[in-house]
Amino acid sequence: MVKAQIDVQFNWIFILIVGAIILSFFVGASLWYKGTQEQKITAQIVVNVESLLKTATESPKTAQTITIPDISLSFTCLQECNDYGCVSDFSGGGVTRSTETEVLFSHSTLSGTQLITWALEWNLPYKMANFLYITTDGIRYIIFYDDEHSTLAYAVNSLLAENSYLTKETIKVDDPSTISITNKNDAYVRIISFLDEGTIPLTQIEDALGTQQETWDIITVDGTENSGTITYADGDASYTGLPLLIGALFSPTNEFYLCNKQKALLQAKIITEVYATRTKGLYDSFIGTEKEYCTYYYDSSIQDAINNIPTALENNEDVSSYVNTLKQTNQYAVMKECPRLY
Amino acid sequence: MPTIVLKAQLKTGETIIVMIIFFILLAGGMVFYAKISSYTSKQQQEENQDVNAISIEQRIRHMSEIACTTDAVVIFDCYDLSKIHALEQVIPNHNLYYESIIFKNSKVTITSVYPTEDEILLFEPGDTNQSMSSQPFRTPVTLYDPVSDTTNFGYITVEVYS
Repeated sequence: MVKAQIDVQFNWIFILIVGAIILSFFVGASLWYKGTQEQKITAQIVVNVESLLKTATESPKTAQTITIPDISLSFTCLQECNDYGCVSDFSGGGVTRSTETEVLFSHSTLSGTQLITWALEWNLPYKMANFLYITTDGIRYIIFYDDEHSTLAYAVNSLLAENSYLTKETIKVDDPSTISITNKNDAYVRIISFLDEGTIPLTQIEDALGTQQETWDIITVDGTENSGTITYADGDASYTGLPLLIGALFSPTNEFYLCNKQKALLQAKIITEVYATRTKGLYDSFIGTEKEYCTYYYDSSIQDAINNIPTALENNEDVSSYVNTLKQTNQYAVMKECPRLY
Repeated sequence: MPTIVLKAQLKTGETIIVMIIFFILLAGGMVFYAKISSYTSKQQQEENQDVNAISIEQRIRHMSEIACTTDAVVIFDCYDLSKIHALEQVIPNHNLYYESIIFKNSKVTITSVYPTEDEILLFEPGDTNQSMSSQPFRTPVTLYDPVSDTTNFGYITVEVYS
């Protein structure tokens, strides 16, 4: 009787242990499956965003809004570059995608379900690259300008006006001490100053918007539509052409801007090499033909102008003389029924 | 007394048999799942190869290096033969960029069909002997020759190596 009781009890203990093992197996399997599926969904979202960004990049002069699931996207770009790109990526929900060659200007973190994308071509004078700008309607851009810097401010403002989705204000400043900003509870405020550096009273802005860098920051722009400098909290940088300046306005830091500028320069270098080789090829093609006069538009002086552009860009020199030479030559070539330079 | 012991032993035996059958079914399920997974991943791999080919073709379609342009304005689905020949010469100087970023282990051929027939091998990855080639992905394009001011019909072939 005692033996039988022990056997029955052992039977129950055995069933309990095995039941617990089976139960924990299924609980573990379902937890693992849930984790994998969550990761898969996040990865799919990031892949979809990447695909949307690629499409947006290839649609220059187009601004659009993209609705995405509510995840926070982070963008990084470090000035650690090789021959064709820089250490750069964007991530969301722990999934990261590389953007080592894509020239992409954005705030470092974007939250919300609406992304604003905008692309512009960087032509000097032939197409060097497409720039993609990403922001959200939660980021407000405030432009301050005075009479002295109005030409550049107007040019930037009219280009930004092509993107109707941006949250933007333009304020003409007669007396910097009277500047006032309303707090509209934006996720971030980027102040773009076309004034002499240091003229904006920071304390008044801090009173309205809170601590600098956390909820707002300020950059100062000085120059022309062709070239100039931008001053960030972490340093100065130069720009060539309005698309690059717009990129600076969308970049969170000097390093982020310089990293993307470096990517653009690397692309410019390769594109230029193709155009220089093509121009030399066109020169050789017309030698000894009835249209030999066309060689005038592809001779060594034109090839030099093409080759000088990336060098000048790298040295932050003015490229307008080379660009104008190529523009004029291109027009004359068309008039003489010779192939275009670009 | 011996009847009760035998009964208890029978019960334990039953449980063990049930357990054995359960684990056999579980193992069978796992084998089935593994087979299905391997089949699906093979299919997924083939699908990815096709998607890669389309993505590379899209990338080529927007390459500033070879597109026909009128004052920097790109003409859709048209490629400039003089730029293609120039790019052929430039690629060896930037092989890593074109191999790892642009063409991503794929062979790209541009073929002119009418009125003149010609074939340009724009890019071929370094070592393709031991690789499997996917089905070629072809897209019709126009090829403009600025020297003779003529336009040819042709197509671009992208073959992604696995």
